Amino acid sequence: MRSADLRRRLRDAPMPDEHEARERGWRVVHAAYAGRRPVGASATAPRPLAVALAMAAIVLAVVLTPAGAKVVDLVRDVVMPNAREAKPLTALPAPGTLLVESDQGPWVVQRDGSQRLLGDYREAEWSPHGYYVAVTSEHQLSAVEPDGTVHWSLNRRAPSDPRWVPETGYRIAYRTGSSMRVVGGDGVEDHMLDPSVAPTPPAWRPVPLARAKMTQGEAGENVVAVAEPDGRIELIDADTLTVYWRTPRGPVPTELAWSADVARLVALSGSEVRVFSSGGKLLRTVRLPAGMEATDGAFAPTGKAFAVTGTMRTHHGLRSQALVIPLAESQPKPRPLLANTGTFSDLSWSPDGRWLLVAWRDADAWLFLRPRRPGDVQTAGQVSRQFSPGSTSGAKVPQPVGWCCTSIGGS
Amino acid sequence: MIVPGPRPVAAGLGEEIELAAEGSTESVAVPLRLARATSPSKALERRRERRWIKAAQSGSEQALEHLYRRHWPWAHRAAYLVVHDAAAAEDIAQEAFLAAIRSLDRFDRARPFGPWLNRIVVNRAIDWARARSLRRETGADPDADIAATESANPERGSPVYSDEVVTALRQLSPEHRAVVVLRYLLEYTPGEIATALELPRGTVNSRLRRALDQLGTEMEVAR
Repeated sequence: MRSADLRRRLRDAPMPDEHEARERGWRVVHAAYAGRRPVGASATAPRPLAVALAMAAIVLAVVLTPAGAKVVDLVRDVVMPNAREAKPLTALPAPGTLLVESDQGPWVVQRDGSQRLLGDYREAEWSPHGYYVAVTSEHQLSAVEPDGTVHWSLNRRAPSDPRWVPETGYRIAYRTGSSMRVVGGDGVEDHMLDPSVAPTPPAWRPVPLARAKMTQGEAGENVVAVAEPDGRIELIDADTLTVYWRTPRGPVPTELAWSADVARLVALSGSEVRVFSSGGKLLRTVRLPAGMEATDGAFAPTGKAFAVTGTMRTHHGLRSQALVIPLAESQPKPRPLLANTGTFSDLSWSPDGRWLLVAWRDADAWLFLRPRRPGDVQTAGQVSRQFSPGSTSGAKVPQPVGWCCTSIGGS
Repeated sequence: MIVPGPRPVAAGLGEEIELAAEGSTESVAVPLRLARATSPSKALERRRERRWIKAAQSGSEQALEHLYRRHWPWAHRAAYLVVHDAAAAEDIAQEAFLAAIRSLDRFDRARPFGPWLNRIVVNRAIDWARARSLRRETGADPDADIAATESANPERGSPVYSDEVVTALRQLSPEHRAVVVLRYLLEYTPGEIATALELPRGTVNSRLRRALDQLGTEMEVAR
């Protein structure tokens, strides 16, 4: 074939979806261009006024608007007989710093109840020791400090579900479009991990810090579990892209989580919890109570128990449960902690593993439970006002997304 | 895609040098190889592009759109011909443009934009294709994956690719695909390919020879 023929055929070969791809691309590029920071502008314009106004609005909301008594009553009446009266969140019951996603962006809440808005971001995720937060916006993945200072940013189309490698923080996995990508913790060496994945956050396999320091740069150091669109789960080395194992097809998980001792990988999907060994072998499947659809799940810091929230439809409407599955037991059965009407949507463990925070969407409340003492419930009410100061319309109930690390000043 | 022709290109490996004459009514394409702007029209093009870059650096969305419309078709096509995956090609081209926007303020207007952009595109495409072939070692059939991905995304258009050159190209390694794309789609010289891929020129020449040999063989087999 003549060179000219080859040129022409490469130029003229039909491409799937060429026009639509060009227009989609233009929308993304245009939006990124419109959102870029002008030359010379500070990467992090200080917002003392905004923070002051936000804090003032919170105070006003707490002091001047005791409305919501119905909610308080509801909480007091139906959560638990000895539930304390719902009050605004003024302090966390355990050491650590809480990361909260709200309509206005993510907030960092200290143990003493002080809170700081990180900025106009969609999602947030603590770095392993809480020195940074990975945040996403429409076209950027960024690492910011808990005071809001931007460390680095990476332009990507609709990044979501950023997750840091535990302990070292050397890598961040995140989704964009249908693919999973990995970038260094310092924002460089971004690369494709898997071009087609399910909409499930990735789960890094924990590596003890001492071992990670010894094996820095070696294969097997940064290994992540991802869910495929057909429900298979793959364990992939983020640096060599070697796939260590792949499970058979199954329900697409909404949550993947490793136990701290790396002995178990849990895949939460719909009404079941599948437990895999570190080698990818299915150890057991734990069924949730009949009719229950999981909304969130998380390993306790000890790695011995897995907490689940979920909802079920009844004749009286939606009903929710929070329960704990003691996976270290030989025949683990779900142990109910709390049940009520409405939706329990999100949960977070305190760093010391003694408290479980559950967001109760319909009551605009957060419930702090003690799995070892189920009757002891602390309730924070009107949380949407607290994390959407100044909002006049109904703001979403803020979601607790991570309770981190006593080492960063959580006292 | 309609491109203007004919135009001379530098020869490499003793190949024929003329492009087939084709009528063109839509002026959307540009020479993307490193600048060898000898003709007045090319010099004019380069000046116009510099103006667009300058205006885009100053905040002109219209100038950015000119740059985008001018370079997207080539960037997207180059990515597709290396990765053979519509969604990935779109991602790669988008990411290259986003990288360009990120670096726009620092961009040296004396440099041509296209080669800089396409260098990002082709290198990312090679990385993506390598990643997929690494995954293949674990037993998965990458073509099955591609088919599954495309059939799972019907809105992305037909996954059926009928052109035999492109089908044959798919059989080559990502590195070989890349040199073919750079040489015959983007019209880089072997020296320019060596610079773009950070390879010795001899390696580029040998890859081109092997790629063309294999391409010929694959097309013979297909017939």
